[in-house]
Formats: sequence, structure tokens, C-alpha cells
Amino acid sequence: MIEFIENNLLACSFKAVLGVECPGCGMQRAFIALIKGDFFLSLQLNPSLLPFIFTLVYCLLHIRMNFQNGARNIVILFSSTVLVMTLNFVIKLI
Amino acid sequence: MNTNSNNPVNQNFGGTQNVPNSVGVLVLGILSIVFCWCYGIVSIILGIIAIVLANQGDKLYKENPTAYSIASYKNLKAGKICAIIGMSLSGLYILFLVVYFFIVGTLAFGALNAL
Repeated sequence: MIEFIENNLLACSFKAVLGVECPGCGMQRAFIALIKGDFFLSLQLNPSLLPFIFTLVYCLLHIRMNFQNGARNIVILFSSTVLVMTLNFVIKLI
Repeated sequence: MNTNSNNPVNQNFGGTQNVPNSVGVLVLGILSIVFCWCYGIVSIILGIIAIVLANQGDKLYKENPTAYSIASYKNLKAGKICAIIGMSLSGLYILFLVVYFFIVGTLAFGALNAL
């Protein structure tokens, strides 16, 4: 299954048009690295994947278990994921 | 019926029904950032669906606040905020693309004219 994903990655339109890596670039590769167990490679390829997965997991847990401040925490987690994405993008540009 | 929302008992329980689609809006809102950068239009479509559903749910809730659970309403609100953030990023990207093509197009046109 991993080979299937590896052979069928979505190409990034951002990179094709503008030549720079977009903020979401590398998320698929980072995800594959994470599945394979290579934690640090995943972080290197796209640091915002981990916050995103955490947000998603928290969201699913919240749907199941209905945390007290769940909704507010989700917005905070989501915003920090976006922040990490933006920072990563800017740093890669410089 | 006691509709005072400062009552601590009503604070977290409210009604028993969930605002319809509150979970869907939440998930769509979070997913909207994944497709933000690739072919930005996908994220905008997801965002529009999420916001439309959120507004429908919001209207239903405002008409009858005590029938719906406050937790699901909070989920609805959170999902809407996430969708708005995702959509604005995606819109920014598309705007950027348009400006880029405009500049490149104008330059190419100018170069062609200069020949």
C-alpha cells in the first residue's frame, strides 16, 4: 500500500508554476516517512504535518468524547498548524 | 422553560439534539487547509460548503437555542472559523497566481511589442 501511495503522489501546482516549494509541499512525503517510522525525516520534509495530524486526532477524539473546551482548543490547534506552515514557508524562502 | 444561559447547569448541556451537520462542518473546516495549496479551488469549494452548512445550523440554533446542545453549537462555530481561515489562505494563493500570470503576461506582451 505504501508503494501505491509513493507511486501516485499529487504533483504540487505551486512548484510547477512558481518554482518554489509551497507551504503544503512535502506533506505527502512527510506522511509516508512518518508511516515508515522516520520521525525526523518527516519533520524535515514538512514540519507542519505533525501539528496537523495532532489537530485531526484531537478533533476525532473530541467528536467521540466531547471535551470541555474542545471546540476552542481545536481552533487554537488549527491556528498553530497554520502558523507553523507559514513560518516554515517563509524560512524556506529565505 | 428556563432559557437563562448563565445557569451553570444549562451552560454545558442545553438541549439534547445536536445542531445538524456540526461534526461535518468541523471536519470540513480542518480538511480545508490540506488542499489549500494544490489547485486552490478545492479548498474554496470545501470552505463554501462548510460555511453554508454552518450558517444553516446557526439559523436553526438561533430560532430555538434550548433544543440544541451547546457543545455542538461550539463545534459548529469552531468549524466555521477553521473553514474561513483555510478559505482565505486558498484565496490568497489564487490571487497570487493571478497577479503572477498578469505580470508575466504583461512582460511577455511588452517584449513581443518591442520586437
